[in-house]
Amino acid sequence: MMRPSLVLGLSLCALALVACEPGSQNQSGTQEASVGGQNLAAAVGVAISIPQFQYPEQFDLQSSRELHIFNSLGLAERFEENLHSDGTGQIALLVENYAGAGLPNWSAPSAQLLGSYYDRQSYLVKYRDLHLGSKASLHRNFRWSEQPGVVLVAGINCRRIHAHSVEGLGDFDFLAAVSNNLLLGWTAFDPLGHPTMKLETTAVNFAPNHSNVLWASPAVAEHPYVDGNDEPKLGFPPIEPQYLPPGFYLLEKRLLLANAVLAGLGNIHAALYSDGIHLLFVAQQKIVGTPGLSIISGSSLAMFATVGGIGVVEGDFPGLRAYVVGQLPMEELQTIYGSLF
Amino acid sequence: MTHYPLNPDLPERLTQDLRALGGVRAPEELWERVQLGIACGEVEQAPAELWERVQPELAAIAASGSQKTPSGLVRNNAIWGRRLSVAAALMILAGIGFRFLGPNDPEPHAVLAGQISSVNRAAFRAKVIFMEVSATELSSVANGLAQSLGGLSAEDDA
Repeated sequence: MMRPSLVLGLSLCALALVACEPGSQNQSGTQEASVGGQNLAAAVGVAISIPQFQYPEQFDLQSSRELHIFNSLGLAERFEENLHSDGTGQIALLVENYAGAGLPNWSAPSAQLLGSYYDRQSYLVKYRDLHLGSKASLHRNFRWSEQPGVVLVAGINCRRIHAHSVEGLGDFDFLAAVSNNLLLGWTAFDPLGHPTMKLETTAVNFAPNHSNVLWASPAVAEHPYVDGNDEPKLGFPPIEPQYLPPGFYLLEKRLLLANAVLAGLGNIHAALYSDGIHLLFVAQQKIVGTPGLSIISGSSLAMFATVGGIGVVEGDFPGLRAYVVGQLPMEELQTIYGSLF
Repeated sequence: MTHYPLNPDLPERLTQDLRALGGVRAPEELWERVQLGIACGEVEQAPAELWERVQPELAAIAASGSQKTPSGLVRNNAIWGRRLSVAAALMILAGIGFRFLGPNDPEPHAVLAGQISSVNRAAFRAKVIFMEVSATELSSVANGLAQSLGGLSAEDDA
């Protein structure tokens, strides 16, 4: 007869073993709750462990994609994109057609839109296109589920995976190739379950011709910010926010050498934070002269607005300007901004 | 158990349990994964890999009516029984880390922000008077940062 302590030990081990098999699926049919009723993938998914994706820029390919940016009325502006990637780090992302919110027909993009894409193509692939971050954050901040069956995306069978934000910051849907986990589409939702941004691949060519491609190069020289070394280039010690949304972590700190582009412009310290999927910039820049927004009665003034679905808070401290930017509820961005001083 | 400097943030009971393991050598990764698990504030499954190491000895003990001591690790059955319980409990705690630490983790040492009270959150916001403006009233740097995250609207949202 086994001693009680041994029985307890074996029982605990057995209990532990049930769910610890790496990559195993929970076949119990656990259903994720939907958020706001519009997030269909959440309603019927089977719980899964954290997926691993591959990303288009890791492949030698050319793909056509359609980006939707939804406004507050639920109407989407659409951008038809052409992505070239050589699989070794070189990319080119251009916009080829544009359709205004809710309009069915494509039109040629404006010169301003072409320029926005051209200047920021590497950032769009790196920051706008969704990537999964630290596994600790993905484990803590999201509950993962998959809808049964597959869907065809650009002629490729794809899994439909849903990430539910446990902190209520907005869910995500992913479309990943069954064969190699290549991420071919995604949708971002706001906390109420309304879509805010959606990207879907419409065609992929794995034998591309890159002969006329002008690869992206950064519009502003930049490098990782090194504490202790880079402060003279910045002109002030960067401030760290005292508050971050639960589950966020510091992904990287970079120094953008804006002064090299335009004399008189302060270099920018940009800290990038993530909860594993959502990204958040906290940026700071030295300003010369009178702040654009005064400090009155012991309170600071700051502006906020939404730019294409991305929230922005901007304001001046004595000697510097701070920016908090991300696809998060405005109240979160304002709380982070207020924690800077 | 192999001595590692104990983190003062570890719960007292866990500290005692770790010390109570005496000469049992824990897997080296156990320490950092217990720490990570506590940092994440969650308790989950035990690691399959650790289970595989322990399971043969447990099975042998169970089959023999627990009269044998496993491979000379300990000499006292009563102590062994206690250590098994402690080890099992630790495995559950340590399992947190095994699941999401892997060779493909881009940020294996990420320190995640914790919860903060709604009162403190409100206090941060109260330090600032926020004014809603149109996107065109923001600076070019602010617009540029938003566009880098995909805020490429050709229309003014405000």
